[in-house]
Amino acid sequence: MVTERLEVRSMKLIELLYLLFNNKRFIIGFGIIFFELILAFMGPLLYPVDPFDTNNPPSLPPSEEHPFGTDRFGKDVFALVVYGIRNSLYVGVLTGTFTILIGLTVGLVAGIRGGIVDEVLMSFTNVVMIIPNVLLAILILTYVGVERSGLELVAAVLSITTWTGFARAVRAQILSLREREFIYLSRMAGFSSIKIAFQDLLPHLATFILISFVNYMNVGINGEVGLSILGLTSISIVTLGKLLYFAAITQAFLFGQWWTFLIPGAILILLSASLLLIATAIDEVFNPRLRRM
Amino acid sequence: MRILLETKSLTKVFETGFFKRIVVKAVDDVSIILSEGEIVSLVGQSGSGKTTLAKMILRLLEPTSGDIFFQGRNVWKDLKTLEDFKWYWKNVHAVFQNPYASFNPFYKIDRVLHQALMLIGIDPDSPEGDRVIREALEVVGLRPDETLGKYPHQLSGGQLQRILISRAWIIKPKLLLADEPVSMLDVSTRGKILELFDILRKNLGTTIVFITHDLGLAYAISDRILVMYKGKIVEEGSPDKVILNPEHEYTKELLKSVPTLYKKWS
Repeated sequence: MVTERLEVRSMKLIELLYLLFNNKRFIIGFGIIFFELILAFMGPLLYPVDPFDTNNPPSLPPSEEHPFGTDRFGKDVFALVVYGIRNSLYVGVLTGTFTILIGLTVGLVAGIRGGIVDEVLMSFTNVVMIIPNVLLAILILTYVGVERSGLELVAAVLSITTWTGFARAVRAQILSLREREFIYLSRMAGFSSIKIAFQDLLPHLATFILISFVNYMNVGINGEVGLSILGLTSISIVTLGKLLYFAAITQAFLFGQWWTFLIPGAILILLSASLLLIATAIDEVFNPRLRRM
Repeated sequence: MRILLETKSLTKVFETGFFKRIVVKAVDDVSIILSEGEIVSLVGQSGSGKTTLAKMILRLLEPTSGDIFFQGRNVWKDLKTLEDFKWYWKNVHAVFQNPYASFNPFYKIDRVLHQALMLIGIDPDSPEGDRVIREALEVVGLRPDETLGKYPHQLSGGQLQRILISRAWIIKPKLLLADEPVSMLDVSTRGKILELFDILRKNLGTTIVFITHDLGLAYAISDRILVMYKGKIVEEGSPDKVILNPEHEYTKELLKSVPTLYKKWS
């Protein structure tokens, strides 16, 4: 009982931020992502070069005029990267949101309703789990038409198969929570199931949702890269994955044009690593078993 | 004494497993009558179905078969709307075993008292609501200024259990089910908590059902003892009858296993 009392401590927002910013992992992760966000949103203002302008000399190595060089089409790589980060983050946030929304709904309904609803929803989840996700993505994207599909569709296609693990975890948490006495006391006060879900259950899931969101952002960003390299996303939308795709089809590696793939690749790795660091840090701060005092 | 609540062949069967059904009869054909103003103890070992029975009476778990009548209304069939449920829970309420689990750790302890006020139709933010809360906390021996606005982890188990009893005091139910209310507390606080239940009965005429596995406690406080074994009520009667002249084998076994002072274990 003592551990349970320590486990969930109600804390104020400032206290939480203080704890987070005392964590080295969080500072590093947040620093990287902050830098990339600045690049994505302030970049076009600080570096007003059109990423679609093909009038530059092609395949230039990094120079003062073009900090990250130019690609085979004569596009400025720095301008492309600035646009790419923004679109990649957009896909990540969308994937995270979709995944959390689907998973949370299924998990909450299955956990709270129980019985036959639970069994049907969980069987459905298991069926979705065994669908090969890349195959499904290829099918949907080619059916819609690669050039007509926007980033929203890419995020949706990625979310369709990734929510299952999250839904199962939410359901498991609800199952253990709903037999607690405070749920009974709220019910006996005449609270409806929805009110109990929002007031009593969701706060217990909040950190888990936050961590999952960050992790699914990562899944979205990397999933988009995979689909881009397979050539399943629109050529007119620049993302970090698309830059790697362009580098691959122009055989940049053979010609030694390292700046066209190493730079977007490094930024992608940094982005992924920072998201992982942030997720681990949140877990470490909120889960006292991992906290080092 | 008038009948307050009656259960008629109440049965709860749990089934698990999708292909191979495993059936557990938690409560088996239980018919009991609770009268107004009495203290009844429900005694039994772990897994004998005491809590399941209580949950069905509290309208938290649907029975497989059988009926519960409260003041002539069938609890599981006549009550339809949320208003009906609220009426029922206003009259039948509970105090649970684990005071630490009875509070949502994300909220201040005021929340359970505010819930009680909303149930009886008083605005928690009004001066009257504040007055009622303070009065209820004083009844259970807590200082309102030191208690209100605190989080559950800042208070002790005994204090938390007192707050839950003060919630019952605000609601003033006709029937209070206390599911092992003192088993998580140390012995020195037990007596004081038990006195509070006595205060509830004396002042409000509340019928109290004590669910416990402690025969000594049941003997000391109750007017009537029900002994439950494997889902059935196997013995019923006054404490003297049950404790001094047990009829059922299980009750005899139970009495033999009570450790006594002044007797060496051999």
